[in-house]
Amino acid sequence: MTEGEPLLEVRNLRVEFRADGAPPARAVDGLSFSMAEGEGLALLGESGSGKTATALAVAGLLPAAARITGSVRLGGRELLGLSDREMRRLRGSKIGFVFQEPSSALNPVLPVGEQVAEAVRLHGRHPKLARHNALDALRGAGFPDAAARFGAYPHELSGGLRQRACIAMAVVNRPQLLIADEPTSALDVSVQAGILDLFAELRTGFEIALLLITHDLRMAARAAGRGLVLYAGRAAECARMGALLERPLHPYTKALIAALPQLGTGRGRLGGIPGSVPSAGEILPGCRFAPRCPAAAEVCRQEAPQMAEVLPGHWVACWQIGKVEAPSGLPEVRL
Amino acid sequence: MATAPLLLVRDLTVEYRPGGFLAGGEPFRAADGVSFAIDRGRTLALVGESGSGKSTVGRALVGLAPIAAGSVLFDGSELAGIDQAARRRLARRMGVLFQDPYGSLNPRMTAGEAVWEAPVAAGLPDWPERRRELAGELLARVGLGPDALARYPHEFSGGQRQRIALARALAMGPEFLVLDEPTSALDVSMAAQILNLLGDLQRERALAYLLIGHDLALVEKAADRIAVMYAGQIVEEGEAAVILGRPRHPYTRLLLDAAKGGRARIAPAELRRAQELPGCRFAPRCPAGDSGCLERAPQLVETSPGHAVRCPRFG
Ligand SMILES: Nc1ncnc2c1ncn2[C@@H]1O[C@H](COP(=O)(O)OP(=O)(O)OP(=O)(O)O)[C@@H](O)[C@H]1O
Ligand SMILES: Nc1ncnc2c1ncn2[C@@H]1O[C@H](COP(=O)(O)OP(=O)(O)O)[C@@H](O)[C@H]1O
Ligand code: SF4
Ligand code: SF4
Ligand SMILES: [Mg+2]
Ligand SMILES: [Mg+2]
Repeated sequence: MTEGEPLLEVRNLRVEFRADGAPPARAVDGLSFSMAEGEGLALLGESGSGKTATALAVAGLLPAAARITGSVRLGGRELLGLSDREMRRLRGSKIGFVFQEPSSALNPVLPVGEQVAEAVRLHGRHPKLARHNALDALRGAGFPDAAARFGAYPHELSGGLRQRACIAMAVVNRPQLLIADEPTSALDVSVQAGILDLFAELRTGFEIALLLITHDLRMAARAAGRGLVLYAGRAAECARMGALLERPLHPYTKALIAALPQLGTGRGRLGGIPGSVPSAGEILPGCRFAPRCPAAAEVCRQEAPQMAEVLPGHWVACWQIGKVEAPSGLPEVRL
Repeated sequence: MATAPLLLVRDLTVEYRPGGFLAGGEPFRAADGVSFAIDRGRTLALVGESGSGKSTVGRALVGLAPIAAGSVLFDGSELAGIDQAARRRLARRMGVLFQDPYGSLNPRMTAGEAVWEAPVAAGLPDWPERRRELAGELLARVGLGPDALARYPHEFSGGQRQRIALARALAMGPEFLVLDEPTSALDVSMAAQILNLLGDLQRERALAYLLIGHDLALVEKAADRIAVMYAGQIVEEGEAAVILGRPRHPYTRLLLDAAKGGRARIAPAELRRAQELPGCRFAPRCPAGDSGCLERAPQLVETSPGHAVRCPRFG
């Protein structure tokens, strides 16, 4: 889906969780996508659609009980099957990961500056420059007074600053790929925009590709060039963010946009999207969105649609493309 | 209005003492003379850009931020300056729901414990053998099954955690809830479910809400009245349909314009500096201001029944 040699290439990724007795829960089911160097890609979709499972699989962070098949290549190198040790080294150097909850990613009894420096000592190119690089990374992550606050403990910082420290830690060794899983949803609305702008700076300034996981279409448009909409572990639609928001083709993407509240409609109930995402244990034949889809037809329930490039760079997995009603009836997404 | 409002706020002022990183200097007045009233069963929404002081007002009402001056009457009792014991008694009747459901739940407590711990800690009547049953009823009311009782926060999705936080707030039997960006961390479906649930509970229990939000389209769905805040003050307040349909204050118009696709964003630091201006705090951004606006600080004036505006030119 991108030109030239991709930085990240995920092919037919499948993630299953097995618990004793229970049927396997298939969180990701045959997902393929790729990312170019320095690119921003947003993984979108409702809660339970498999965004986190995908991100953790790419970063090698899934628990041992998870069964992962398919292929994940970074710069041409296959990551599935690498040892824990090799994966850990890769995570400190080539892949950075930022979690939703900054507090859970930081060591509460170590100053944040030291934690960033430690990442350099463990995986950086110049361990002797650890402190120096850490300070640079903190500054680059928009940490005000980085030198003075180098010794601050996580609990002494606001949530926004803690997340900036986590981002500094994730990018201090200049990874090629930064994965951020809902990096702003635990933060006060007032600091969210600043964090998104920081990701944009890291992308343009250091060519760090960003895989951003979010359920918020507006945020995705702000920080990523392309979006990949997931539904129940499968790809539904992938296109430039502008095209996704203005000319969505998949009924699920349309439903996500139509569910955004619109000004001028008065007091009352919110529609949301009727029905709910099937759980990872339910394996339906055919299109997984069919039970909620206003355009579902017989074929949809029998065979799963595959991703197809219906416009240049615009991929959709839906049997009824061309038959679904024109997207003009959709509200405009205000950024 | 025949009966007295449940909550009557007059000239509420909240100051943060510089400490921690904001070392030295004057206290910062994050809420400056804020007044409003909320009736039982009604929702007042507080809107405005980040840093305008919305959360500060909400926190002050439930005792999480210090009241420096002014009066907060809750069902006739004064909250400003009361002692801890009296505050705790009243606190049972007021609850709060924050944006981040994860941060507000103890990771080592099951959903069941989270729900019954609060009333027990507050010294409400306790029947240990009935705790599970009562917690189960509340969790069911917010749409969670009985298996939720024994599960920990990390086992739930964001929307489910927000339901647990809501069940916990309801356990105290509150009459009033502060809802501070309650759906900002949730996807569209979960946000709709939580907001609809809050609406049902409001009708069922005549709950009064202070809804803090930055998304006007979402606020419109839930608010009876809207107060618009700028730099620590309310600049316009009235019926939701009037504020959104026929706004008068230039700042309200700017916000509405931004919600319709225009651009309105200000750095929080700039917003803080605006508070030092002798005249209208909005003057530096106001397309309609003149030199007079820079000299005299406008007052919030009721320009028609139930509609107040802080701008002499458009009031
Ligand atoms: N450790 C696990 N064991 C069993 N099932 C799991 C596990 N982790 C995830 N799942 C299931 O896999 C599916 C996808 O989960 P995932 O966390 O990837 O969703 P998500 O898109 O990140 O959602 P959210 O927006 O809530 O974070 C869900 O049905 C979830 O219940
Ligand atoms: N605990 C605090 N200590 C010092 N300043 C604070 C504190 N909480 C908020 N502020 C400041 O008060 C102002 C209003 O903040 P807040 O009430 O959070 O605004 P809003 O909820 O409208 O975004 C901001 O300038 C903010 O930085
Ligand atoms: S394949 Fe059928 S059911 Fe699935 S999204 Fe398209 S129209 Fe709807
Ligand atoms: S008082 Fe003047 S500057 Fe302030 S909002 Fe009114 S017109 Fe604008
Ligand atoms: Mg997730
Ligand atoms: Mg706030």
